[in-house]
Amino acid sequence: MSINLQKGQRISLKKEAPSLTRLMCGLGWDVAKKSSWFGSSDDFDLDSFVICLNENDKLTNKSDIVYFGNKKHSSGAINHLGDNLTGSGEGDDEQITVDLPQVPQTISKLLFAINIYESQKRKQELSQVENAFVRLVDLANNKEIARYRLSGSQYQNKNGLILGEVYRQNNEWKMAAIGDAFVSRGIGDLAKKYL
Amino acid sequence: MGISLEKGQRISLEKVSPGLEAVLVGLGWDVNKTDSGTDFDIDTSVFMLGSNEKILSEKHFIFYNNAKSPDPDASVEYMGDNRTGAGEGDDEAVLVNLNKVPSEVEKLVFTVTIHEADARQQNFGQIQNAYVRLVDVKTKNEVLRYDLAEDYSIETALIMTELYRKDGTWRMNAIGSGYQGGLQALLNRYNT
Repeated sequence: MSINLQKGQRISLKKEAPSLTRLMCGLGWDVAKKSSWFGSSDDFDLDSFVICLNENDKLTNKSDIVYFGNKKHSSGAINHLGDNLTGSGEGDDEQITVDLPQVPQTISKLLFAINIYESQKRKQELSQVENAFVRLVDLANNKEIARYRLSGSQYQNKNGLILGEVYRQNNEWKMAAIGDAFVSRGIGDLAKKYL
Repeated sequence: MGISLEKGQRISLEKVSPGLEAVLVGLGWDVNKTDSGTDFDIDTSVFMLGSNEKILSEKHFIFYNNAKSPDPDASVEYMGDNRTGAGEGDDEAVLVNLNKVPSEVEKLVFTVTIHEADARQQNFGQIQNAYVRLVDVKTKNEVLRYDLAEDYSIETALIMTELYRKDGTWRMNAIGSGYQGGLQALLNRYNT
């Protein structure tokens, strides 16, 4: 049975999936129906990305952002499997795989986040995003370990969202359900908070 | 620089700082740098316990609405937002005049709880870098510090530390225990 996380909850991956080495992080969302005839009819393009932080919660290298423009981390440990341009379809909208033993020791935390592409130009924000989730799957047996569901409705005027994080603590990996939003014009604006 | 305690560690204040009379107990924490959706309202409370591990009276539950202990010297005083200058950076502070605490008080329990945690869907998993420290009021030096390094999760109440009497002197115990149920859980535990 997969665990349903609530915001702020933390679990030990060692405890929940003792043999875990390769995991898949799936992110998904739905876009709310347009409320106005005059609303923008642009597609809603959400991008998922990973920010890799060191033990002091700092981003030390631009290459530690894994996104559509840098799909494979230099260590080979983190792979972004691709971009879904519209958010349609069941299940995960985007998937990222992580080979935990391969993650360099200098990296202590992986932030999994989504950002609305060109949100300012298209006048789009998170309150239009529904049924967002992040889930972790053990790739050895394709079993879901944990899932965190949230709604963007409480995040007015924000266009990016940190869904969850996978982090090291005392030589074991843990997962936390975050659900924190931010204002951004792009992925770089979140990254700047960690410089 | 004071001494850093680890979870579970106990230490005699007399040993660390001989002649210590009044301390400012500073408590601090960080909320995330991103927007968690709702503002956090975190309250500090102190439970003044007798030898039976219960508060001596309702007046011995010190918080923003009952800021001073009932003894004539008000030996324990909740300062709210810390404005004394002695404990810069603390989110909240409590002043304790160790020598004036009435002898029937055996233990002071310092707690932080999240106001309306359930309604706001908040917990200590969303808070980082919580700490408690003791500052000598006279010298303004930090005497002891305990950084709660543990990762908290869905807890909504934290017992940060205890000051307790043993063999006629005060000691500090770095507790760092989290509980669900918020302030009510602590009230249930310590109420007579």
